[in-house]
Amino acid sequence: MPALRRLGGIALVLLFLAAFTPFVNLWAYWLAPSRSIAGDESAEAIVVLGAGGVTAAGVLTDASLRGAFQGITLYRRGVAPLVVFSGSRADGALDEASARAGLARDCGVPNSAILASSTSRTTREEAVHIRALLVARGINRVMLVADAAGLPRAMRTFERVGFTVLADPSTGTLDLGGGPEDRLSLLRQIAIESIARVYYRLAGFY
Amino acid sequence: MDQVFLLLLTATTSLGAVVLGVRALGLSRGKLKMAGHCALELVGASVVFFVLNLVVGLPVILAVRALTSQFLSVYLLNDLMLVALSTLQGLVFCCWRRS
Repeated sequence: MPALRRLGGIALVLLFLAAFTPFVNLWAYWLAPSRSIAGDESAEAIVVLGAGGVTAAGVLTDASLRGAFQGITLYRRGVAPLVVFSGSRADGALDEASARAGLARDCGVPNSAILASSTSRTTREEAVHIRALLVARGINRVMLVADAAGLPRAMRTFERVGFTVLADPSTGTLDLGGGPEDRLSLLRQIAIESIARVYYRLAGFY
Repeated sequence: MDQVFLLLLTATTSLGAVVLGVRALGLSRGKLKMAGHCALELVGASVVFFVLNLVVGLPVILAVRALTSQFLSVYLLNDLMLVALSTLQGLVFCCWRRS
């Protein structure tokens, strides 16, 4: 079947392009948000979105740990006086948000500067629940910490519920490195996020 | 160099396989082009099954969320196993077509 052969050929070319050239890195950089903190801008709260949850043993996954550390680092730099850790619910074991909050306390962040929100399963739910949590404190301006691929959608979703949103400045940097597996993993993230963006737009979440 | 290593490695073993095939197994070098076409068809069929799995899987996940109390994450579709299973589907389909 010539059509299948043509499709296979195109797929292989794209696979090699994605794996062995910086094409995917450039694509990810182009998609990254540009509204990061600059100069003396500050936020009223740092919101660290859920990322990967916890393992069965209650240990934060690598992605979740990276997000948590980035939130803690931004707090210690004085970006905002409050850190909100979001995460999914867990059955039995310590949930992601609580585990992240515990980590922050262990890193010297005072309890009064930490909020944990464990009630969300999607980005949309995170935006709604955290809005309810922070509007009671008069907080409208937040800095979002999330993986680079998901940050643009997260920013728009949070803006839709009424926040003024800044992007974590560590995202949006051009990184042309990484091996084939890293690039293919990044390509998968971009593909999933593209589908999610279409769904969120159709669902009216932004 | 790191990234070129995988390409050099597979190019070397592929060349070795061609030499072994022709000299030791008596395979026809002329049919190598046909084998390449067959491989491309297999890749194409796998891509079709992969897209089909996504197109079917995503609405099913959203429907389960909307119609039941069960929450399924869209990231279930982000598993590498889906690529492997789609490739298997493509392989079976191509073998079936050629049998």
